[in-house]
Amino acid sequence: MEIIPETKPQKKNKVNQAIETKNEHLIGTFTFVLILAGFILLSWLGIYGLYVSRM
Amino acid sequence: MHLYKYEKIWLIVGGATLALFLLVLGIGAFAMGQHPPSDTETIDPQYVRETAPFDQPGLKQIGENEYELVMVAQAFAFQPADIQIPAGAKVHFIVTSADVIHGLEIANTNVNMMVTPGYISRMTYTFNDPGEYLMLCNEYCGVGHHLMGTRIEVAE
Repeated sequence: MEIIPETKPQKKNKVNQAIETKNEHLIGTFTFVLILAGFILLSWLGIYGLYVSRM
Repeated sequence: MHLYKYEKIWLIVGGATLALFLLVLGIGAFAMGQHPPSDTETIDPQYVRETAPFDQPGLKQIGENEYELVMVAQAFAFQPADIQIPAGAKVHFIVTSADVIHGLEIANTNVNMMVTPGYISRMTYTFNDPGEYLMLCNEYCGVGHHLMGTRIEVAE
């Protein structure tokens, strides 16, 4: 069987495709973390706003 | 250097949050003069009642609509109790404890501080809105802790 060596661009493309596939599996986690961070940030801003309003 | 899409978004969110908090901290510290207590003013807790100004706790006018309120926290009451001040008054709180750690919080205001034996706590607040404010001990100090409180009446 003839082994055709891969060129550098072909290897990089394969790695990128593998990473992109893994990224698609983590979209749900990513979205959840962003929503959680947004909730924490809004809560913090609410309490800080209350503090500023009482100054 | 190639940044992947979600990595880029995450770095922007993290960096922006960090920048926002640093900005708030900087404005608070340098423009508004907010800083944690220095704990440099000390007093012998055994001789609080004999040491000025705590030998005469009470409200004292020091300027036009500016007052100094010297208080002693002792289980389970604040001295003086039932304070009356005019609306718009700037009040400098000077507080210490004669026994254990207490807290001093005035509901619906930013006044909230520890009152530690051996140290003098200071805070300044302007009471713009008339009404009755509840002053409570918010640091467990013993069996009567839940009864430790008094009122500040801000009159128009």
